[in-house]
Order: sequence, then C-alpha cells, then structure tokens
Amino acid sequence: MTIPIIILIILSFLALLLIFVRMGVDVKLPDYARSAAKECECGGSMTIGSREVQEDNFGVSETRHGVMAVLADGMGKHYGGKIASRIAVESFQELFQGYDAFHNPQYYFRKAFQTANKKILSQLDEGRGAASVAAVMIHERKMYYALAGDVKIAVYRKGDLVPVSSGHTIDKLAQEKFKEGKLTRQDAVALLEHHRLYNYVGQDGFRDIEFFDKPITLYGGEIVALMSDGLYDGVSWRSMEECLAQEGSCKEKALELVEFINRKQDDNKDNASVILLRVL
Amino acid sequence: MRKQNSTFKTAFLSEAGSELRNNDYFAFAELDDFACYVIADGITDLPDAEGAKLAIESVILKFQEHPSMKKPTVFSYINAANKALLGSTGKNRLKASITIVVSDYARIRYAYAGNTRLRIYREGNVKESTKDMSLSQDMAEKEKIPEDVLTRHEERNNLHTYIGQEKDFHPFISKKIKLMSGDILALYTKGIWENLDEGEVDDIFSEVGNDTETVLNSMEDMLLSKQPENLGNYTFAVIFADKVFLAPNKRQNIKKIVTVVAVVLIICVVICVAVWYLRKTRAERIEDMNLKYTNTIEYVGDNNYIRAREECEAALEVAEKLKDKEMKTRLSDYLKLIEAVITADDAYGGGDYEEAQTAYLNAKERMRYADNLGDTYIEARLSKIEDYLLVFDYIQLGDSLAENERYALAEEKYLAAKKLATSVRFEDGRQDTLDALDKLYAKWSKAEEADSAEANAQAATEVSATQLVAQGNTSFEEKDYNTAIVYYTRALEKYQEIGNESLAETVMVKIEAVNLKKEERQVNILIAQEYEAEGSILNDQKEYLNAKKQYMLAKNMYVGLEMTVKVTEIEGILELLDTQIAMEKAAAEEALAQVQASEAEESVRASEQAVMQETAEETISEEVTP
Repeated sequence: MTIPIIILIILSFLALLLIFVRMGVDVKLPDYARSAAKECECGGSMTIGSREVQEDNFGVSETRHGVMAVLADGMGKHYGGKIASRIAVESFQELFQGYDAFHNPQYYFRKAFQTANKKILSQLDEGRGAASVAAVMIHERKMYYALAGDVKIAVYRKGDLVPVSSGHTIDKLAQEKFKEGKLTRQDAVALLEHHRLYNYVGQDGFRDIEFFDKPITLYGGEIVALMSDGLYDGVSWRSMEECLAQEGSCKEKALELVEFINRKQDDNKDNASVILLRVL
Repeated sequence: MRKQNSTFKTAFLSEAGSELRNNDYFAFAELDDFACYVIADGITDLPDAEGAKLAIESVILKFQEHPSMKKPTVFSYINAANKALLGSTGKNRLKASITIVVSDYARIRYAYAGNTRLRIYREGNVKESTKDMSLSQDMAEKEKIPEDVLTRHEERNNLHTYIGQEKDFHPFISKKIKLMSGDILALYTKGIWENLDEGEVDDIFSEVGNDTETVLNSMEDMLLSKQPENLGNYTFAVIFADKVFLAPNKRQNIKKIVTVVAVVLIICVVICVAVWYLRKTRAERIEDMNLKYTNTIEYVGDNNYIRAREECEAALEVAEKLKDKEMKTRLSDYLKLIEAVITADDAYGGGDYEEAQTAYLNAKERMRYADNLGDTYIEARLSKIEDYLLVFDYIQLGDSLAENERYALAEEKYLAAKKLATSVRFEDGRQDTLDALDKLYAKWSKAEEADSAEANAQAATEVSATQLVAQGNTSFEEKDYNTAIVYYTRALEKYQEIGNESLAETVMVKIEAVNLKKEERQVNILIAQEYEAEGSILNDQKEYLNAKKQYMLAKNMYVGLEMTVKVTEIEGILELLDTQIAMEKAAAEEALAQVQASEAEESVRASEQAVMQETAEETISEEVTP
C-alpha cells in the first residue's frame, strides 16, 4: 500500500463522512419520530399544478432546541423563482442549525430574512427571482412565526382551521391603510378584490416582515399548516378543515390536500405545496 | 288585523365602524298577525364572509312561510339560520351570532345564539336582557371576572354557541313575554356593547320619548363620542311597542274561560276525590276480603270449620259488595265445602256414621271446587268412619250369626270388631261390641243351657224312648207283638218329639217288622190252626200218625208262636194220640215180630253171603293190587 493510495482512501473516506454528515443534518422528510423527545410529527407535499416549473420549496429542521419549518413560494423568470425559493429555504435552515434560535426568535427571523434577501439579490439579477417565505418555529409547545409574502400560516384545532397570518397582499394593505386613515373606505373596498403581492423576499426595498406579537400556545393535537397560495386559493377552506379532521399521518394528509389541487379541472393551476406539523 | 290595531315602530342603524366591511345585518318583517325582528353579527376569520346576511335572509323567509310564536316554530327559525350557514357552499365556513324576536303584537318570544344582545325596557327600567353565550360571560357568572371587565375581556368573542355550528347547537329560546303599551325593545351587536356601558344605554332609554330617531341618534352620538380605537361593525335596532294589541272582549272572554275552567276543575277535583275515596274503600274492602279469605283457609287448615265458616261468610259478604265475581264463586264454593264438612261433622259427632260418611263424600266432591281445601281432614275422617262402619259391620254380622245361633263365629266377629274398635279408639264401638259380646255370651250360655236342657230333655226322652224301644224289643222277643207295637209307637212318638229322625226311622222299621211278625204270626197261627184242623180230621180218621204229625206240626207252630196254652192243649191231644199210636203199634209190632223173624233169617243169610263174596272180592283185589 503506497502512501498516495492511503491518502486517497482517507480523503474519500472523509468525503463520504462529509456527505453522510450533510445528509444526517438535513432533515428531509421524517415521517415519524426519530428521537424520543420529538416536538411534532411533520409531513409535507408539493404539486407542480399546471405550471412548467416547480417554484415552491420547503424544509423542516429539527435541533435539540425545537423544530423549524419554512415554506417558500418562488416567482420570476426562467428558473429564478426556483433558485430564489431554494436559497431562502437553505439560508433559513442553515441559520437555524447554527445556534439556538429560540433564545431570541425575532432576531433569528429577522436575520434569516435578511440573509435570504441578500443572498437572492447577490445570486440573481434584479427582478429575475423572488420568493414569498413563511417560517414557523415550535419549541415546548410555543409557536413563533414570521412571514413575508402570501404564504399562509394556519393552525388547525378542534375542527377549525384558523389563519394566523394575514399576508402581504394588496387587500390586506388596503384594510390597514384604511384603518390608519390613509385610504378612504371606497378605495379600500375597491382594492379588496386584489390579491397581488406587495412584499416578498428578494427585492431591494425589502423590510416588512409580519411577525407574531405573542407566541401562540399550543395544547397538543393541533396541526400547524404552512400553505402556498396555490393551495389555499385552489381548495375551499372547508375541504381543508375536513381533510385535517380525519385520521392519518401528516404526510398522508399533506398528500391528500395536494390531491385536491391535482383533481381540479383547472388549466391554470399554480404550484401548490403544504407543510403540516402535528404538535404532540 | 292585529297589526292594524296596534302601533309598533321600528328603527335601526348599522355601520361598519372602523372596519372595511359591515358584517352585521338587521331585518324585520311585520305580517298581519305576527312580526319578526332579526339581528345578526357575522364572525369572520377570513374576509369575504357574508354570514349574517345569509342567516337573516333564511330566518325571514322561514318566518314568512310559517309565521307563529310557538316554541318549536321559533326554534325552527334559528335552526334554519344555522342550516343555511352550514350549507353554504362558499370557500369559507360562515359563522354568526343572531337574535330573533317574534311577536304577535301583544307578546313576544325571542331566541338567540352568540353575543348579540336584546334588552326590553318598560317605563324606563330594564325588564329583561340577554346574556352573551361567551366564555367571558361564563367566567363572569362564576365570578372569576368582574362584570365591567366583560365588555373588554379577551374571551368575549369566544362563543360556545353560534349559528354555523356543526355539533351541539343549543340556542336559547325564551318563554312568551307579555308586552304592555309603551314597552321598548333594543337589539344591538358587540360593536355597541363593547364600547358603551350598559348603564349608559339604560340612561338613554330612561329618558326616551316617543321618537325612534332621537334614540338612535343619541346612541350613535354617545358611541362615536367615545372615539374608540377599534370600532368594529355596530348595529342598533329599537322597536317601540306604543300600542299593544288587546283582544276585544278579552275581559269577558277571560271571565267566561275562567268560570268554565273553574267549574271543570271543581268537578274534576270532586270526581278525583270521589274516585280516590272509592278506590280507598275498595282497596280496604279487598284487603279485608283477602284477610278473611286467608283466615278461612287457615281455619280450615286448623280443622276449625265453624270459625272458617264464619270467616268465609264474612268474606263472601265483602266479595258481594265488591262485585268480585271470581272471588264470590270461589268463596261460595269454599262455604259449601265448609258447610258440608260441618254437617258431616255433626253427623259424625252424633254417631250417625252412615250419614256422616255420605256427608264427607259430598264434602269431598265440593272440595274439588274449593282448591282441595281440608283434604287431609276429610280423608282422615272418612277413614275413621270406614273403620267405625267396619266395626258396626262386624257387630251386625256377629248379631246375625248370633241370631242363627252360630255363637262361635259370632264371637269371632265380635272380637274382631272389638280389636278394630280398640285400634281406632272407637269407644262407642268398643262399648257396643262389649255389650254385644255380653249379650252374646248370655245368649250363648242360655242357648247352651237350653240346649243342654233340651239335650237333657231329649236325652230323657231318648232314654225313655230307648227304654220303650228296649221294652218293645223285649215284647217282640216275647212275641208280644201288640205290646211291642205299643212300645214302639210310643218310642216313635218320643223320637219324633225330640226330632231324632234316624232313631225314629229305626223304630218305624221295627214297628214294620213287628207288624210283619204279627202277620207272620197270624199266618202261622192260621197254619197251626190248619194243622190242628188237619190233625183233628186225621184224628177223626184215626190216622193217628199223620194226625200226630199234624199235631206235632201244629205244636211246633204253637211252640214257635209261643202259644203255650195251645201247646199244652196239643200236647194233651198228642198224648192221646201217642197212646193210641202206642196201642196200634203194639198190635202192629206183634204182627211184625213174626214177619221180622222170618225176614231176619233171610237177611242173615243174605248178609253172610254177601260177606263171603266180599271177602273173595277183597282177596282178588288184593291179589291184583299188591
């Protein structure tokens, strides 16, 4: 055995090790509990809809501190949306793995969003790709969330799927402005029909992040859902509630929800994706 | 009609407040006989929810189809609202709070679910008001939070009942509330009560006049003057019941109704009391009857039939009063049985066992109809009677046997009777048998005596008869036939007296024999007499030998007849004859002597010759025969 060969072996061994470590660290889609003290069971599913490109992306990370789920809905030319959403998800996960985010959840969120924004801008040309991102952290039955864009966060409890976030769409903005008095009622009412995004990650003037004001206390048995607009626009709220009411694992339910979209006869179905976290 | 005869004024206001959209709604419908006022507050998680409008529409429609104030109907209105929201095919789930007021222009009934409120004012005071169906209200009721915090409490919108609810929908429906002229109803949503204190609202109504607009305006002013930060949708409706519908002739109607009802009631009460009383007496009677019935059975069980009869009669009386057919028949059967047993007992006690037995058998027949009551008793009695009768039978048999002088058998029977009587402890019977035995023995000894006396007499007679017979026999042997006959006849008589047939016959035979002998004798006498006559004839003929023969025959006959006189006579004759014969003989002998002498010689010669021949013959024969 010559030395170069030894070195080669060691290097390949290290490479393999790195790969494994990387694989081990990235939580892909654990269906059921791996560690004993698991916070929740999760499952997610995506569908391309009628589009050519799947521009959604999501990820769930778990450390000993807690669980973090992030869903990103990309948009843009060519594959810009896809890249943007991927970058967003990755940066959120990286940051989450790095330190105990629960120490200061707001800081984490802010940092994550900023990082994602910067990275997208650095990687992609102006206006080529952007993403709506929503992230949820659960630690000891307390839920923290933050979002930018039109990804919806909702909590399903006892038969009711309750939306937690309002989202950064025009109609919401109009309502707010009306409340502030900056917009007349008429105008506000007129704008209520518009659901266009006005804020998202991957733009220069990015700042607004919708945060939790108080962490939501969960009692166990609830399902936290992150949905892209393709899903919550395409499926009636009631059907979602009914689906979540049934027995089954999160993965099964996520698949079922996505199936609703697939079954529809529409020609213009958006990408739809959903993450479900069941609090144990 | 009602509507025309009353005055109900309605006014309302409904605004979005600071919100973009107004999700509250109010509507009312006033028909001729009924009116309906509905207020609803949509609960929205999501925008684009028009739950309130949909709910109210469904309620008004339902009301118009079927206007009524009945509780189930009002429930159906609110249920229709619930169903409408549940059935809506929109994307989102619709939920709302609702309050419905239904009125017939004289009274109202209200139903609500959620936290829309209703207040009723009378002469400036709050007559009635609703409570929210929220968690805050529950907490306030449990005194966990003070009342004034309610309006701002975070759980004030946490409703446990609302329309659009899938399970366990339990709205509140009130009783009928009577309205008086001048009453005011106020319906309002949380936009109002969140921001205005109840007291303030009441103040407005305490000073109210007759004008609805003023009220609304003051309300709105007060609300807006507060300048609440977050004014949600607010709706406020007032209904002034200025003139309430009064049924004409109501007074009279009421009076009529009241009197009728009172009369009916009194009658009912009287009937009830009467019935109750009758039932009570009936129950008592039944108890009494059952008690007597059980007593009867128990007395019969104790074989105390007299008391049982009393009880049974008493029970029968009660049964008749109760007209209980079944019991009556049963008791009368029992009674018959008891009476049969009692008559049987009487007969039994009186010693009339035959009758007692028939009576007991009769009772047994009756027993079949009386559940076999007193079975053992009657059976016992009957077996006893059997034995007694058996004793009597024995006695009777003995008696008849004694009658027939079969004293030994009679005694047997009596003893058997006595044994039986002792074994069944039949004192009287035993006494009877003893008496009978005494009688028997007396009779027996008497009979024996009589027998012996008779026997003696008989023996005596027999003896005398035998004597007579012996005497007769002697006479007979003495050939004294007549005496013999006399004796025999007397003996015969005696035997016939004592009834000894066999001896009597013997004697009769003897008599016959005697008679025969007598006849024989007579014949012999005749024969003797004939001989005698012959003899005499021959005597006369000098044939003295023949005559002697005859006379010898005759003498024999007379000797045989024992006629000694005649015998002597004949002997005399015979002697004569003998002498004569002797004389003849002597003469004849001489003659003979001579002849004989010559003959004698000849014969001697002849005989010598004979002898010589003989000897010669002998010698020849000896030679021949060695």
